[in-house]
This record gives sequence, C-alpha cells and structure tokens, in this order.
Amino acid sequence: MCGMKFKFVLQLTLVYIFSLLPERANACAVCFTATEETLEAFYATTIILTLLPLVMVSSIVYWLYRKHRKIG
Amino acid sequence: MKNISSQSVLLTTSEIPLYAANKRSKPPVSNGVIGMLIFLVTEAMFFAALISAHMVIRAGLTEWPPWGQPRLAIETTALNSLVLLVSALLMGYSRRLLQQDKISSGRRWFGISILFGIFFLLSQGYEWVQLLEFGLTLSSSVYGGLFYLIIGAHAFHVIGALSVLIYAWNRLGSSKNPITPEAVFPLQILWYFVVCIWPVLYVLVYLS
Repeated sequence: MCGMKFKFVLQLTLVYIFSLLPERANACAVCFTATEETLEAFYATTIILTLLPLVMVSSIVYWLYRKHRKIG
Repeated sequence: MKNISSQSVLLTTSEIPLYAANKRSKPPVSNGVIGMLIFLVTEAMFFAALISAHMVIRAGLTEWPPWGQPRLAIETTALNSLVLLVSALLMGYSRRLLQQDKISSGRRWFGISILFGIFFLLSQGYEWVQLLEFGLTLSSSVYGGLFYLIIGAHAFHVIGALSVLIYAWNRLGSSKNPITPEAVFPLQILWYFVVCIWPVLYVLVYLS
C-alpha cells in the first residue's frame, strides 16, 4: 500500500517537473506562425483532406452503380 | 484413348464464354479499371497532402517567392501545360478509335499522345536545369524545396505513366501476344489523372 502511494507521488512529481519545461512539450509541430492566413490555410486543408476521399470514393461507387444499372 | 477424350472435352468447354449463359454475370467494369481507380484515390490523397503542405507553409510567409530566389518560367510552363492537355485529348481520341476496333489508327494516335507527353517531360526537365543553374535547389529555400518536391513528384508520375504507356503501345501492335484495347484502358485512366492533376499544381506552384 505504501509502495503504491510512493509511485503515485513520484508520478505526480514527474508530471510537475515536466510542466516546468514547456519547451520540451511542444505540442504542435507545425504551429510555427500564428497569423490569420496560417489559421485559414489549416481550416482549408483540413476541409480538403477530409472531404476529398469521401467525394472520390462516393463518385466511384455511384459510377459503378450507374454502369451496373445500364448493363442490367 | 482416355487422354484424347478428356482433351477434346477441355477444348470444347474453353470455347464457351462463361458470361454467355447469363448477361448479368459479366462485370460492368473490368478488374483493371477498378484496381487503377483505387490506386488513383491513394495518389490523389498523396498530392492533396503535398498541396496542403504548400498552402500552410505559403500562408505562414509574408514574402513569396522569397527574396533572392529565381522566378519560375510561367509562360513556357503554360505552353507545356497546353501540350499535356492536348496529349490527354489525343489519348481520348485513340481510345475511341480502339473501341471501334480501328487498332492501327488508334495505335498511331496513342503513340502521338505519348510523344506529346515526352515533349512535356523534356521541356520541364530543361526548365529544371535552368533553375538549378540560377541557384534554385532543393535546399536553397523552402520555396525551392516545395517546388522540387511537388513538381518532382508529378514528374516522377509522368515518367512512370509514360513507361507503362510505351510498353502498352508496343504490345498493342505486336503480332506475338498482343494486348487488347480493354487492357490498355486502365493505363489511359492513369494518364488522364496525371494530366488532370497538373493544372492544379501549376496554379498552386507557378501562379500563387
């Protein structure tokens, strides 16, 4: 029981020590600027990369469906 | 005697098309086309990732192109883009001729389309040599890095597509083990993709 308490305190201490070193915990590797244009670019590319596979796959499936209907 | 009879049965059954009994059993699209479309979805995502990287890096910089870096040949590349688009149109025309069983003329236009593609590749290569002489290298700036990465990735695809198209063109006309026009179609789709992605890259890299 005492050993578990010691581990818990040790973990908390380590987390506290790391929180004092913020440069070691650089969360975002691509946030090198904080301009409005960069933010807009992030939004635009997120939308592109999210929607593009959905649009492509659904287009192919619809095309195959049309072909199948045409033959059938 | 037993061997001869089994051989004759095999010859008879092989002559019957499997889809003749039921029309619906014939697939609406060939496996080659499906495979190529799946491959092109992954390729499109690859280029989308490159485009995204360009957009984010470009947005973070105030001066673009950076000071001291050579400017890209917009007019010459516009002409090259036109050549590439014509190549795709000729490929479509050859596809139509091949579908009509006009193999000889279809193959001729197929070859001309490949020649247009080779012209585009050589012209772009010449532009690269000039840019390298002017000091734009992969490590000279983020501008050069992005240019060579994006345009180089496209050039790599052009080389790959042209290689398989030349192989198909050669097999299309050969008397021994020829390739069918249907088997060529997936490779033509690859060429359409390579051509269609180029205007997007041109606007992004050259005009933005």
